[in-house]
Amino acid sequence: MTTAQLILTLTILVTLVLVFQITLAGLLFLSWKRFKTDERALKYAAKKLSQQLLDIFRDVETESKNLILDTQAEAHQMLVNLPLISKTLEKNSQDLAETLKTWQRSELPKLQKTYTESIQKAIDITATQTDQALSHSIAAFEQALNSSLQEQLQTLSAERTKILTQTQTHLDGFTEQQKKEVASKAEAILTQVITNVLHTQLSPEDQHNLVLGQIEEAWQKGMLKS
Amino acid sequence: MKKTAAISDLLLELCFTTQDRAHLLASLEKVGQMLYIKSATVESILEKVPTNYADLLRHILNQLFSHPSADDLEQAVSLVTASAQKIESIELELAYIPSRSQVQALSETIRAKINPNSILSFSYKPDIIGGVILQNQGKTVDLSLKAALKYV
Repeated sequence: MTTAQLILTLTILVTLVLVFQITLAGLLFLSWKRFKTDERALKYAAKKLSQQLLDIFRDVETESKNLILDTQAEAHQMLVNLPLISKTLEKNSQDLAETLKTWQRSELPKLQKTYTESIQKAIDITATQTDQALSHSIAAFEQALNSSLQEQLQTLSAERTKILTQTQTHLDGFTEQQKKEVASKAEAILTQVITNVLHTQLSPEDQHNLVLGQIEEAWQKGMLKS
Repeated sequence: MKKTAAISDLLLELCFTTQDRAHLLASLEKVGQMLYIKSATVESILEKVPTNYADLLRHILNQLFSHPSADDLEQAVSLVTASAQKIESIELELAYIPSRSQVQALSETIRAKINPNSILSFSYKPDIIGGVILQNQGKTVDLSLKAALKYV
C-alpha cells in the first residue's frame, strides 16, 4: 500500500468517524430538545391546573363564607323574632282558651239543652205511643181471647209493628241516632207491655198445658231428635 | 248389666229432677258416713234416711244378698250412686214455676218423647213470656212465646 493510499484510507476513516459522531451528536441534540419541549408543556399544564384549583378553592371559600353569613343573619333574625313569635303563640293559645271557655259557657249548655229536649220529646212521644199501645194491645188481646194462641200472638205482633211504624213517623227532624234510641226504647216498652198482657192472661195451668202441647208438637215435627 | 238397669228404673221412679237427684246423693253420702259407726246395723242406718230412699236400698239389698250386712249396704250405696250419676239431665226454661204434679207430668212427657233415662233441670225465666226453651245434649229448641212473637 502506498502512502497516498494509506492517507486516503485514513482520511476516509476519520471522515466516517466524524460523520458518525456528528450524526450521534445531532440525534442527542434532537432528543434533548424534544424532552425540553415536553417538560415545558407539562410545567405549563401543571401551572394551569394549579390555577384552576386555586380558583375553585377560592370560589368554595367565598360561597361558604357567604352561606355562613346568610345563616348567621337568618339565625340572628330568628332570635330577634323569637320573642315576637312566642308572644303571638301565647296570644293565640289564650284566644283559643278564651273561645273554648266562651263556648263552654254559652254554646255547650245550649247544645246540651237542645239534645236533652230532643231526647225528652222523643221519650214523650214514645210514652204517648206506649199508652196508646197498651190500650190498643189490651183491646186487641181481649178481642182475640177466644181465638187460638197463635192468632193472639199474630194480633199482638201486628199491633206492635203498627205502633212502632207510627212512632217513627212522629220523629221527622230527629237524627238517625235519636230515631234509633226512640225505636229501641219503644220496642222495649212494647215488648214489656205484651209480656205483661200475656202473663196476666196465662195462668200457670195454661202455661203448663201450653208447654206440654209444644213438646208434643215439636216431637211430632221431629224437632226433639238428638 | 240387668242389675244396673233395674236400679236405674227404680231411681227414675224416685227422681224427676236434678234437685231430686242431689237430695238422693246427699242421703247416700250420709249413709256412707254412718257405715263407719261400729255399732251401726243396716236397719239402724236405714231408719235415719228418708223412707223412699231406705225402701230403695232395702229392695236392692234383698235382691242382691240373702243376709245383707253393713258391707253389702256399702256396695248397694255405691251401685245406686253410680247409677244416679249416669242419668242424663235435660234442661227446661219455663216462664212459670211448676208444681210437683206438673214436674212429674213434664218428666213423663220428656221421657216418653226424648229420653226414657232422663231427669229434668228447671230454670225460671219469666221474660220468655210462655212456652219452653229445651236444651238436650248441646241442642237448644226455643219454643218460647218471646221467640214466637218475634217471628210471627
